[in-house]
Amino acid sequence: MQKYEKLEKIGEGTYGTVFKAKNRETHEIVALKKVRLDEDDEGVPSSALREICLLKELKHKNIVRLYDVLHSDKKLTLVFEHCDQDLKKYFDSLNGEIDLDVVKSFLYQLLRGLAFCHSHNVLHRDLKPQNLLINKNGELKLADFGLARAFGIPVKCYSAEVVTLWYRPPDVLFGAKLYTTSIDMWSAGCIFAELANAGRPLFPGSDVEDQLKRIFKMLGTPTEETWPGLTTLPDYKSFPPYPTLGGLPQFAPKLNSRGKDLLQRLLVCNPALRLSADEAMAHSYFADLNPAVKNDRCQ
Amino acid sequence: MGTQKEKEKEKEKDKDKDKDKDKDKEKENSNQSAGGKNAKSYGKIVLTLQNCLLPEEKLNSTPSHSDGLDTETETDLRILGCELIQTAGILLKLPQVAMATGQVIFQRFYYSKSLVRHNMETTAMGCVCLASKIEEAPRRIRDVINVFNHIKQVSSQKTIQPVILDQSYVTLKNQVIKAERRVLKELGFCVHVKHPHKIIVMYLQVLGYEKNRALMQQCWNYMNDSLRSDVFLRHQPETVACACVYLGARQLQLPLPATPAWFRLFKVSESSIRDVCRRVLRLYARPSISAEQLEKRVDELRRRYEEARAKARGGEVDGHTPSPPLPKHHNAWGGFISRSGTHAAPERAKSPRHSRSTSLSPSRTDIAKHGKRKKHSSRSRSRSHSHSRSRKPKKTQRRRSGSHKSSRSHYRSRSRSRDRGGDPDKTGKHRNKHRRH
Repeated sequence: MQKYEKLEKIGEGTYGTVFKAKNRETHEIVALKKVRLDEDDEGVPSSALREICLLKELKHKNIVRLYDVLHSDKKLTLVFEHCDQDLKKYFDSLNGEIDLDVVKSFLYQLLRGLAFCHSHNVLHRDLKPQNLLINKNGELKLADFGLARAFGIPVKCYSAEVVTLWYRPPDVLFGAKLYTTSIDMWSAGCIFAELANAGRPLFPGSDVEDQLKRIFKMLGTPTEETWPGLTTLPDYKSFPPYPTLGGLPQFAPKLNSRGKDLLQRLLVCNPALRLSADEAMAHSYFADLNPAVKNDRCQ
Repeated sequence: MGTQKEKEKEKEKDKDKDKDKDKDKEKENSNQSAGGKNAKSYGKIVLTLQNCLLPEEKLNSTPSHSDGLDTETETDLRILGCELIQTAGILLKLPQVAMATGQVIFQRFYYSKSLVRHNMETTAMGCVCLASKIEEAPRRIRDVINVFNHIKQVSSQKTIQPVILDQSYVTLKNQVIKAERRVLKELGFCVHVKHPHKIIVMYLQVLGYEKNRALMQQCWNYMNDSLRSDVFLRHQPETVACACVYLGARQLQLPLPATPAWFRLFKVSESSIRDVCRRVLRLYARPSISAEQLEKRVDELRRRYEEARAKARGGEVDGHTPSPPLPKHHNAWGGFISRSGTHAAPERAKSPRHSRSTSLSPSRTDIAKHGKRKKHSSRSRSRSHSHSRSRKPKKTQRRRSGSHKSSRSHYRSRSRSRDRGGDPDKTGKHRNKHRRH
């Protein structure tokens, strides 16, 4: 631990404390995530294992960089790129006002990071504002890959307890065990709406049923016609047939019509019809995106 | 007796302390080098989401070899270790992919560290724990230890007794945790393994054989057997998949497109397919392994190594993390899936694995039967049924005897029939209930 000087505690991660620290030689600021390894425990926690294994591979400007892993007897320390704050804290500082260009830029970067993950066969599975880090230059980075996993060709049977409730797609809420990159796209849609509303969450459900009800009230209750296979999902329950009133555009009134269109294409109950990250990036909403953001080479 | 044990334990503790000192030195070293480049990191392993392949020279001069272990003994130890991981995985009801991952990382590890210094069985346990986490089917270390203990008791024909949670258990558990971390560290956390299982399915679909269960099964069998060889360190999974398809189709005498050659489609060369085939088939031609002799050989080398280290102490540290001294009761692979027994060798000889490369017709019927049985056993829950899953009808005659001997063959046949077990994701269903402690 001689290499880094601890500066302050940043927060508690999924499996350990996170510190801000400085590299004594290069004076570079980093984030240190400590993973305690108790002798009488079960060895390296799976979440830490997943995060390290996957992040070592994912080198992209919109994904938080894992620089190094330090071993010692009692703990593992993950050395991450440091970011100033997460999107949640950023929202808190906004006072309900957000620049729509910032919304566009953040969403684009989120999609670009996701597209990179997905092209490398990695699902994030736990996207939420707390896991999106931003820095002073307006860069956004995906973080906390503790629940992420690599997927192979056909994906099946992942643990159902995935993704914070608010950002969970209806297929997962109905117990779908065979999900794909579409899980992250739903979360991206929720975050898009939240961005456009300067931090007001779209579906702040209190439990699975409430969560589904909120979704269907906004988007209309899906049927076997709009979503084939819906009723055969493991935890399927029928809901009142809420009409499709187009409540979603009303939720994000500040967004232009293209933005509203993109939002509606991301938040589709049927996972097969949700846009992919690449498709979303090609949407006309981004036609007037700041070229500095768009043409960034992200390696 | 008791006091002697205590003394031993104390000795161990001392050794542990020494080891920690060594570690500290190591850390210092690595910190020094860390100043210049991006830390010593992970033994200079290049990380990609592709499987790690090793260059020829690394494959030929292993750390065990440098410690005086001959190639044949090392190969045998690797095969034993892989069988151990496979059998333990079955008893732990792990999905087949977890056993596959465990075996691949086990093999990789011993290209970085020596079998003389790092106990094979402890590493195998660490690999099972790690693989179960990687494949999202975590198992408790305690269960892993129980299962290894059970396997050992069964194979050495001892009375089955549960593991006593005494000090030596705690020591062993800590060794397993350390082994897991050592594997992670040596492999630079590059532990995701791309398995050819799914690739095989894809290829068979392209070739129009996706409905041929027998062929699918046969390809998988070869794939699971190939884990015991070094092909995953030499070739990309696509190549291994092609070789398995090739071997499977050849055995079942099924034609594959020749003009243009089918494997061109998958961008795999014929020479590399041939190389994989040769290496896999060589496994079946190996003479039976005497676990006792292997153990003796390694023990001798370890003693020599420790003597040399004792002499050198005070001098320079060689940079290797020394293997933790083993508690006396923890006798490496002592008799695990014993091959030294009278029936081990002949069984090997008549093993269906042998028949593959040569005779075609008998094993073909075998597979058909196996396929049927598999369905049957997927519903069965009793022990005896698991025997009926074994491929040789002869074995089923022994199934009720309940002696340890039979339960030994029980494991072997299970291990093997699991090897030939089907869909890696479905295998869990076919597993039979097993006694656990």
